[in-house]
Amino acid sequence: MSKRFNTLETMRILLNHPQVMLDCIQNMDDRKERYIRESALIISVRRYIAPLEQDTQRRLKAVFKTENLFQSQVVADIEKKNGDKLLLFQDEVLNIFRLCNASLQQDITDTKLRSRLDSLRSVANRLEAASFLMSDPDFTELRDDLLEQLSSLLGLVRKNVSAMQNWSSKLEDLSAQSSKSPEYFLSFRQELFEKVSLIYERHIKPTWTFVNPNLRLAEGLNLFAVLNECKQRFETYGFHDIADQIFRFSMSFTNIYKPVTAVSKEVERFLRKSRKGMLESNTMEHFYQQLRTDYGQTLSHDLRKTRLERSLVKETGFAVGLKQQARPKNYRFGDSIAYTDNLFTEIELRLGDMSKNLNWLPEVGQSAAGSLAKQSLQRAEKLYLWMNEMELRPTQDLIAMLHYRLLDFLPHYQFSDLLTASIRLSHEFAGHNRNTMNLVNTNKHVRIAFEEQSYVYRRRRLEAVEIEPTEKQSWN
Amino acid sequence: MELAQSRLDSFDEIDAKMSALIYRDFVQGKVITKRAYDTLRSEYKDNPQYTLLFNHQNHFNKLYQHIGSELVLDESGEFYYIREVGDEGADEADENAFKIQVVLLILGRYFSRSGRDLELLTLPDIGIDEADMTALNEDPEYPDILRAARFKNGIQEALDFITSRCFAYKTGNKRYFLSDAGNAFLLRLVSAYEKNNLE
Repeated sequence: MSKRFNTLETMRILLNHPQVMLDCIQNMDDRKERYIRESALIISVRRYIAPLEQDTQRRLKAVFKTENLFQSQVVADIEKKNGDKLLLFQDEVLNIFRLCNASLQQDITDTKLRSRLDSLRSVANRLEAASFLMSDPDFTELRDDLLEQLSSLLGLVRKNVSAMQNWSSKLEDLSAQSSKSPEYFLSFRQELFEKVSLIYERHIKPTWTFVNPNLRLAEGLNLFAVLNECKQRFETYGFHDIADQIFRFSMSFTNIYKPVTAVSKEVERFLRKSRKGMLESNTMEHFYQQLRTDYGQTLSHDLRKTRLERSLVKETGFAVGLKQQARPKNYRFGDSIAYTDNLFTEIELRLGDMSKNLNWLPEVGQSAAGSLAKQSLQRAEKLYLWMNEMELRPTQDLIAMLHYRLLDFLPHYQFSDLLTASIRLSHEFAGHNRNTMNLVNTNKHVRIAFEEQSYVYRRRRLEAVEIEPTEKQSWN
Repeated sequence: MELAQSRLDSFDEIDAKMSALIYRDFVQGKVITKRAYDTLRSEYKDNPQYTLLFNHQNHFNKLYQHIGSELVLDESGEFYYIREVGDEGADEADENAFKIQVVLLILGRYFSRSGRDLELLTLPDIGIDEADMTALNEDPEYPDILRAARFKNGIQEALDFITSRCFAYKTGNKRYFLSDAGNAFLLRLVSAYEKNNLE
């Protein structure tokens, strides 16, 4: 006959080597079964004892023998099914292991909570008709039943809540994974969403409503109302210690409400977030595909079609009409002496321009013979020669000054000619030919509009050089 | 006895300097957002320009009406801008709106594809960084679409374009994030999509 252990010794060894039972319970929960298969238990034991000493191996084998487990009442019942033995462990044994490992916590389901509440209600009803005499065994049993129910319920809810509080890290892990693999992102999110919402709907939310003191239930009193009723009944009959005990239970349940609310909110936010994320992702995909279709059309054989169709703008109307606008031109009238001096100098200079015999550009007919580039070069050349003879005054913006001076005098004037000519002119300044003036190139770019075109150029400043009066001479 | 008093008009109530700043931003094609990001202090604060526009909307409606424009508050309520009344230049205007939308959509799509919430695009310390810009430039499609939307130099030019119009902020070399105006577009797309799907 093989070696047997008593219950205490069996439990001691099971708890000394908890991994076997933890694995089996995990396995059982995964299969959503109420029993552990003998075959699974044997495999688990073999795997576990393999690296251990011979002596320990023998002891563990003996403990986990089905007969031993049954004899020591660790296993409550054995069923046979399809050639395998199904071991129904005592709930107390399983609960001890569940207590040791939070992840083995079975979530309280809606149904479980409802049945617990129902049985509490029935106790409360029976209390109504109870004798409240210590000599009446019906009453004392009822009292003990009530207190036992309450303490086991409290323990159950509490264990679950502590498991729930680990959910936040679980959620983080799940969402971090989803961002790692963009290809399976959508399907992953979908699956995640389903999983989380199931747990939320079936486990967290029921617990939360169960310990919510303000909730009214359609089918009867809520937990706190039931407790209150029991408490009052015991008080009426002078059982103050029991009334106090019930009151403390109800306080404990109230305390659980807060952490469950926090968990519930967190999960709800996560669900919303992932739903939002899915929505965002789908939206972006939807509109991007529209844009891509539009882009596809630019790749068609139609040579003129190089721009994207603006269907997006028509659909959304977002920021339509946004553009840079021209600011009003300002006239800088002044009344200082310097301003009037400048004005008169400018008038004199322009009169001087007019008095010169301008041998301007070739006639249109003449120039048509040459290429456009040649023409413009010729024009720039002439312009340069002519500018060389012009008298200049100090100015903040040489190009603009010349532009406005030339604009009205020269037929077929082009701004680009002026730019070409002025570049050459600036070389000359660098050579100190006109040493009464300094030409300063600034880093500022200015816009000028001419014949419906807008030109951007670099501003050049002309400054008078301070010189001794005796050295003053005209520049040409 | 009552003193004769010249009638106050709305111009007297408004800080002319601030109004001029608003005008300057508008003619540069910028939008004025409800919150403005202070890049020196790295924080958002209420935009006084927006507040002024909002509190004196009647005044500014009239003001811009008188100079041939229309003051527009985006339907999200997040930003103001002006557009010209009448059809001249409508093409250029749509071009701008389109360019902005294309950039924002591409950024949004890129972000959601990489598994990130669009919200992250708007966070100053997250947003778009150099790695994202490299990824966007190396994508087989995005650069082509940007080019077809008239951004010759890829994503950098595109980001600078929306930044210059206040749809995004630049927080460093190759670091950008969307302003509330930029975000308003993505949110509008999301709600339009959601609505379409529900119907």
